[in-house]
Amino acid sequence: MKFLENIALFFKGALNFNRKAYELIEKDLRQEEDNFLLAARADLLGLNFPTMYYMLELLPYMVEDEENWIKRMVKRKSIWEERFSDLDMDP
Amino acid sequence: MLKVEFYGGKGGVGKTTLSTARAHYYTKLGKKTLLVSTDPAHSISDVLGVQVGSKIKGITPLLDAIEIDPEEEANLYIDQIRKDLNSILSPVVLEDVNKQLRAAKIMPGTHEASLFDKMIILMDMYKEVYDVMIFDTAPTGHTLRLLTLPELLIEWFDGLIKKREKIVKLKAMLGLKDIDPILTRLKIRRETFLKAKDMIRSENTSIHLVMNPEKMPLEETKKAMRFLSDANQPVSEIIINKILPTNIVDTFFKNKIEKEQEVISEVKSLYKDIKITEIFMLDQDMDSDSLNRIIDLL
Repeated sequence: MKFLENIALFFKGALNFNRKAYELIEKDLRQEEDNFLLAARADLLGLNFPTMYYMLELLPYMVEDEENWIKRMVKRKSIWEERFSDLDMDP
Repeated sequence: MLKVEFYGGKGGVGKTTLSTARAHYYTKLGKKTLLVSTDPAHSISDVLGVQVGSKIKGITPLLDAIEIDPEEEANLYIDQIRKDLNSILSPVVLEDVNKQLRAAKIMPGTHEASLFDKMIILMDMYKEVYDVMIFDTAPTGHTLRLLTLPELLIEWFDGLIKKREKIVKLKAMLGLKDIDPILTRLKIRRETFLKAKDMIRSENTSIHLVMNPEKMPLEETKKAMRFLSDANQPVSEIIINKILPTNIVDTFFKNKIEKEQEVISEVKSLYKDIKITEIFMLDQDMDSDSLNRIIDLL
């Protein structure tokens, strides 16, 4: 019966579009959040934007994201790797 | 309806004197007037003969004055943010953020923004209190930026709001919370800038460029006129200040007078649709007595 169970699991996994869709949205969200931080706090990268002063008031809501963002940006090994994983092409 | 006048021009041409004189002129018409200095090198205290400072101060029953201190305004704003942060962050993160906030106080653009904010607050909060508000601004480039800042900021904020809305939408798709304080804040700011833009663009707001009848101030005035016409911001008046009286017969001054008159006619022929006001040079320094003589000339 182990064999049948495996087959059932296989189809469950293969046909679970919901999970995949969820993951894609999450990925989109992460990317959008990174983009937003880049646009809002470009001064952290040394770019001077006219909105910098007004972004300070968002700090109470952003500061924790910011920390992770900087870590993510620093840890990033390869843009290519990331792009390939976007396309579901990594092993 | 509040009437707002901005006075701009090259350093030393007499912006402060003329804006103060205009303020007095309006009080003589019975209008409650606020004279605002946005020039970091404040000098309305010197012209008025009263120490003004960064709080609104009564000068005469109808005239109040204030000298905006951008540093003080920026400190107030940043200290408020720090207070908000204190209540929600761990001490370790807080130290890091404090570093950022300290740096922000001296970043380029900070004083410009805090000055701009204070200007908007004054125009909005006291629009019922005063009939006229007169802004004595810093030398030209600074003023021009101040007047076009709302447009620039609105564009940036539109972009940020669009990005943020996308995030909120994605979050909602994942069933996550849908109230986003960041989006709310961004929208409040954009509202303020839209209001500022409307106030600056309003037909009750006018721009007055001050110059002296010399080559260099003329060139700067031309540049300012070009910039403002590109920005679709009409100029109501050009005031030519410190013109030498034409009845001097001394040969040294005769040449100078000729040159000055050339500049004046150039201004007149270049800007036919704009009111040109000519103010002759006085034989005395600026004080309340000479100020009265100028008020009569306006």
